[in-house]
Order: sequence, then C-alpha cells, then structure tokens
Amino acid sequence: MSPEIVIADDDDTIRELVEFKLRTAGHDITAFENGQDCWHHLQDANPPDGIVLDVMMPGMTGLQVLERIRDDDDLGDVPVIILTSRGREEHVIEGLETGATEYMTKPFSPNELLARVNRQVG
Amino acid sequence: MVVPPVSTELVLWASVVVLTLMVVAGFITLAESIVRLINDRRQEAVQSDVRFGMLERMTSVDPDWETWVDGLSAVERTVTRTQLESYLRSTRGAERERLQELGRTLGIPAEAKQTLRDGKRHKQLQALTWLTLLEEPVDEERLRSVCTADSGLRAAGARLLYETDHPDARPIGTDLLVGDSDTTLSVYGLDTLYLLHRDDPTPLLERAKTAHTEWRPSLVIQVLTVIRHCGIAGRDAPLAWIVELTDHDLPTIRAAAALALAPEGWRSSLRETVDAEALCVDPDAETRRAVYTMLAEWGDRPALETLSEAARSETDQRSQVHALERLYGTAVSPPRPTDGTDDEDYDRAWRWVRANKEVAPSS
Repeated sequence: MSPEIVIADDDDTIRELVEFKLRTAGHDITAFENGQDCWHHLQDANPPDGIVLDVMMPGMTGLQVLERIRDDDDLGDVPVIILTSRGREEHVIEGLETGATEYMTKPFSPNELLARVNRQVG
Repeated sequence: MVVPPVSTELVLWASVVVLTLMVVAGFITLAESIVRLINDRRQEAVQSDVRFGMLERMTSVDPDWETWVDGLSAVERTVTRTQLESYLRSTRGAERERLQELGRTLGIPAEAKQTLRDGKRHKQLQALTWLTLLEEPVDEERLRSVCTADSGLRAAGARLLYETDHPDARPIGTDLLVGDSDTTLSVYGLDTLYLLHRDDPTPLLERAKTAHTEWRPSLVIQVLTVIRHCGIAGRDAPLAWIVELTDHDLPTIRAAAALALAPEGWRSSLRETVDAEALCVDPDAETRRAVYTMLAEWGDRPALETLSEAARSETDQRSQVHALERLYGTAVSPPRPTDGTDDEDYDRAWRWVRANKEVAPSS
C-alpha cells in the first residue's frame, strides 16, 4: 500500500508542485490550502504516514497544527516536515522545538523534499 | 458688466459633443473589459494542462522542452511564462535548472536583453527580474549604463550580478547600490547589499569609511545595519569610523553604530577606543538600548559589569527592562532588589524580567 501524505500550503503553485512530485513517486496525497481544514481532516481520518506543512497559512498556522498534532495521542508520532519561507535561525529552532521532524526552507528542491519524505515514511 | 447671451444652438451642440464622447469612452471601456475577460477565460481554460505539462517535464530527466514549446498556442505560451516565473521563485536544485532551460527555449533571455537596451523603466525592471531568475549574465557595461535611473534599477542590476556569480559582483554591485550618495536602499537593495558582503564585509567597510560622510543619514544607517549582520570582517578591517559615529548628532545613527559594533567585541584594540560608560548615559533612550545590546553581545565580565551598572541607574523603564533582560542568566546576574529599597522602578523591572525568564521555555 502506498504511504499516505497530507500536505497543507496556501500557495497553489507550491501545493501543486509538492503534490505532483510526491504522487508521481508513488505516494497517496491529500492536500489542503489552510491549516484549519488540514487539522479537521487529521482528526477525522486515520493517521497518515507523513505530513508536509507550510507555516504561514490563514486561519491556523502550520506551527499551531503541529502543536495539536504533537499533543494528540493518535497523531503524536507522525513525522512532520515543515516547508516554509521562514528561514531565520530562530524560526528553524522554533519549528524544531515545536516538534517538527524536518525543517526545509523555500525556495526548495522538490528532489530533496521527496528524499526527506521517503526517509521519514520508510 | 453685461454677459452676452449664449445661443441655444451652441449649448445643444456642446451637449451633443459631450454625450458622444461619453458614449465612445463607455464603449471603449466595455470593449477592453470584454477582451480582457475573453483572454482571462482562455488562459484559465488552458492553465491546468500547461501546469501539468510543465510539472511532468520539470521532474523528468529529459524534459525535451523544444518539442513541448513548439506545440504551444499563443495563449498557452502566456500562461507558461506566468507559471514559469512562479516556479522559478519557489524552487532550487535540478528542477529549477530544467525550468531555466524552459525559459531559454521560450527565448526569454534574448527578449529581456533587447528590452534592457530600449525598453521603458518598468519593462527594464521586468527584464532584469527575468534575467536574474534565469541566471543569465549580462555585460557589466550594459548594466552600468542601464541601471542608473533609480535605486530600484540599481538594486536589480546588483542582484543580477550576484545571482550570475559575476567575478566582480561585489565591487560593481556595491557601486550600483551605494554609489549615488543621495539614495536610500529598497528592501531588495538592502538584501542584495547583504548578500554581496555577508561572508566578509571588509570591502564595504573600506568604502563606507571614506564615503559615509557624503551619504544621506538613512543610507548610513542601512549600511551599518548590513555590516551588523554580515560575517566577521578581517583583522585589520577599518572600524574606527563606526566608533566615531557613536558620537554623531543623530541618535538613530548613534544607535545603528552601536549595534554595528556589537559583533566586534573580540577586538581588544577596538574595545579600547569605545567609551562604553559614556555611551550608557546617551541622552536618547533608543541609543542606550542599542548600547546595552552591544555590551550584552560582547558578553565578557567587564562589558556585563558596565551593563549591570547601567541597568541600575537607567531612568527609562523600557530601557531598564531591556538591560536586565540581556543580563539575566549571564555570568553577571543583575543585582537583586533588596527589601526596603528606594528604587521601586528597578525592583519592578527586575521582578518582571525574572518572571518572564522563568516562564519562557527557552530560557
């Protein structure tokens, strides 16, 4: 069975690019354009194999979604990759301290993202 | 005074002319809107196919852009260019290189270079943006001649030199950015100046040492800000002019100078020339806060003891909190308030900082 990956990014271009890259590599993708919809889906569905989150999104930020994921008994262990344009040292530290498994900054390499996702979902 | 009567016929004709003009203007506006709507609809209709085609090829080893581009209609080409710009801004690595190949296949670099020669200012800016995204080098003489009109063009030219790894990107780019003494950098220009000098700001220091007296105060502050965030300059880098600026008439320049000296605390010879105690009693509170930041970044016992003294005697509460925050948890903890002290402001600031530091997870 293909690993299931959930993506949340409010930038259509990036969301479609990530979705395409991971889907053509054999992953099942569910994509959202804001943090709130993503969190609702995560609460209702089975835990995915991995999550790719943007940080700056309307409604609920990626870090807020990540906090809830880490506080949730079912989702707490799911690998989360933060993909964001916030690249300053303190932002990276904040992301990792909130519980991100990996932290990538935009502009990003789709190949690198795929490698990181594959490493996390095995 | 007698006003001559206006003939009814003249009024009628004038009304007809005005009405006709209004109707024509209305028709032109309507026609333009319809044309735009049709264009938008056409573009929307092909957007998803174009995106899919681009994504498919940009992630494959051999994209064969020529065959793909040959099969595109005019509308599809327009959508491709918009999409290409967006993807170039979001990606790096192998996929980005393939997208740059697509840009070349579409003939964008040649077109942009032509626009640089004879386009209007905003078209030239667009051309420079494309050339930067595609990392297409441009002859430096052409850049020098084109990028003169304003700070936006100069910043775009400097960025192009940086992105294309031009061997003289640093001197020429710096020339473009700060060569005009009457300029102020845009955010893009500031970022470009930082990128050019982030590994070693010595060349910028050399230039600023002699040129800063000619610059506008806002440019001096911007350059000092860039220097603060760059890596460590060479051992013999000229910094004396920055020390002198801590005595400038303008408090904003004094503050920026203190912050620019903050990463340089390891230079004992420089430290000897800075009268830290005097800076701590600067009449401007913002400047004092910058001095406190500088002392905290220097971080050794003498600097922290000076900061501790300053915190105790600070009269501006915000600055007092600023100083205490930087002292807390260092080798020189701020002196605790004692019961019955006569300095209630200090006691309050100390307790506030301690409470904040105790709840902050990273402290």
